[in-house]
Amino acid sequence: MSATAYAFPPRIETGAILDTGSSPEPQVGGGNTALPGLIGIQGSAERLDKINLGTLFDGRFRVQRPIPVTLDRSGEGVSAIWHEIDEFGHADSASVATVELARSLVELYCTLEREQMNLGRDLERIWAVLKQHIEPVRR
Amino acid sequence: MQLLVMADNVNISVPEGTLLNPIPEVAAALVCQVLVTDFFTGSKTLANVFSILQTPVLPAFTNLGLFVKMIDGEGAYKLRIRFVRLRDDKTILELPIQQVTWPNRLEPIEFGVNFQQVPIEEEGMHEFQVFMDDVYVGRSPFAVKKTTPPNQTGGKI
Repeated sequence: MSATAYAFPPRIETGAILDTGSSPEPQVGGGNTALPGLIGIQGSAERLDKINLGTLFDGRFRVQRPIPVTLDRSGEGVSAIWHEIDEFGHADSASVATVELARSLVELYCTLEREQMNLGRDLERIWAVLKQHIEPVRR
Repeated sequence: MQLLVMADNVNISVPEGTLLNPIPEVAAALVCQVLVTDFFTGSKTLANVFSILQTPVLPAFTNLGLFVKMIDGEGAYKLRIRFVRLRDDKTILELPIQQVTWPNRLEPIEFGVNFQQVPIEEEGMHEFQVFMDDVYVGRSPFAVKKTTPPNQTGGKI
C-alpha cells in the first residue's frame, strides 16, 4: 500500500523558497552531504527534447556511456528514441517513455546476449553498440 | 554536437562532455514532506515519506523534501535536479546546477533538499529528476490526488 501525505490549501507565499538545511559550511561529496544554503529556485516551461540516459532503472545493469535519447512529441504521446540502434519507448509522458525505452533495452540486451553466437550482421552491430553503453552489474 | 569514438570496430556516438566521470547510480531517491539534517553529524531524518499526495484544493502549495543516495561515482560532477509534471513535462522547479565533488568511488554520497511552498497545480504524476553532468541518472515519482472532505459526502465526522 502506498503511503499518503496531505497538502493544504494555498498559503500567502507564491514563490518557492529552498531550504537546504542548516550546515554553515556545506560540504558536497563523501558521506553525508548538504547542498549550499539558500539557493534560488527557477520555474520554467522548459521541456527537454534530448536527454543523455545514464540509467536503465534496473539494478542488474549499469550504463557506462550515456545513451543519447531523442524525445519525439510529434505524434500522440511521447517517443523516447535511441536512433543509433532504432530502439524506442512510447508513453503519455517523456519520463515514462524513457523508462519504457530502458526496459526494451534490457530485454534486447538479454536476448542478444543469449543469441550472440547466432546474430546476423545488423544485430551484431547492435550488440556491439549495446555492449559499449551497457554492462551487467557484478556485485 | 557529438563525438564519434571507435571501439570494437563500431562507431558509437557519445554526447560531448560526458566522458570524464563514471555515471553514478541512484541507490535511493525518496520524497517526503520534511527532511531534517542533524547539525553535528549531517545524518538525515525523513518525515512523512509518501507516494501519493492528497489535497482537498488545487492549486495547492506544499513542502517537499528530496533525499538522494548515489553510488559508483567519482570525480567532479554538475548536479541538477528538476521537478516536473509528467502530463506535459512542464518543469515546475529546478535546482540551479551544483558542483559536487566525489572523492572516492567506494563511498556513496547522499544529499537532501527541502523545497518550501512548492506549487502543485493539478492532479497526476509528478517527479523529481536527477542529472549528473547532464546525464539523467534517476527519478522519484509521486501522484497528486484531489480528495473530497468527508463531511461533503455524507460521512460522519
